[in-house]
Amino acid sequence: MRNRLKVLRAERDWTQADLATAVDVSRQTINAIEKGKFDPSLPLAFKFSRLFDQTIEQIFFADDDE
Amino acid sequence: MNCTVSTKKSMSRLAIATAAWLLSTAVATFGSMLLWPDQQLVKILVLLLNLVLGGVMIEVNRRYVLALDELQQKIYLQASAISLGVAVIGGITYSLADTTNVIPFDAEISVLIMLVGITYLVSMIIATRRYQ
Repeated sequence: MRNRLKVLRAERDWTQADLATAVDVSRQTINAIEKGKFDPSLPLAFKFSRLFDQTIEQIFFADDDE
Repeated sequence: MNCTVSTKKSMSRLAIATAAWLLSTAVATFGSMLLWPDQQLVKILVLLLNLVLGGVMIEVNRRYVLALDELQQKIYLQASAISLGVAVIGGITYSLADTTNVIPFDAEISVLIMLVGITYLVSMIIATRRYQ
């Protein structure tokens, strides 16, 4: 699964640590999600959705999606 | 591994609980040999204290795992699964080696504990690197 977390974070000039604190996970977890090495749970995806004020589909999408 | 505030607190509690259990284990071991070798009641009380502190450590460890975030829990689960497998398979093989006299010495539980500890440590390092 791919995502736009890095772009959304950069738009706000946040570090991985800032984002990690905002959604209450470790910086390592943010890094793994951004690199596509770890897929977040639905509750964590909702946290990102609320934080960036975007739907989950606008942030996360399947590898084969355009 | 970077930690959240709740994880750091849980880790501190786990470190304290582990230190208390280790201390009680040392007291139970060396106290019974050197300080009260003939006092059965004291030996039993110290052993009971060691058992209670061990139970506390298990509960604190459970809470520590619950305080981890989802990736950390996944890494912990993988390392625990490998460690449990090594403990069961390694323990049975080691015991069999003793009972069938393949090894010229008695199988000691401390060897198994060290093996499990090292396995857990290596598994944690490998799993953590995999997600970097």
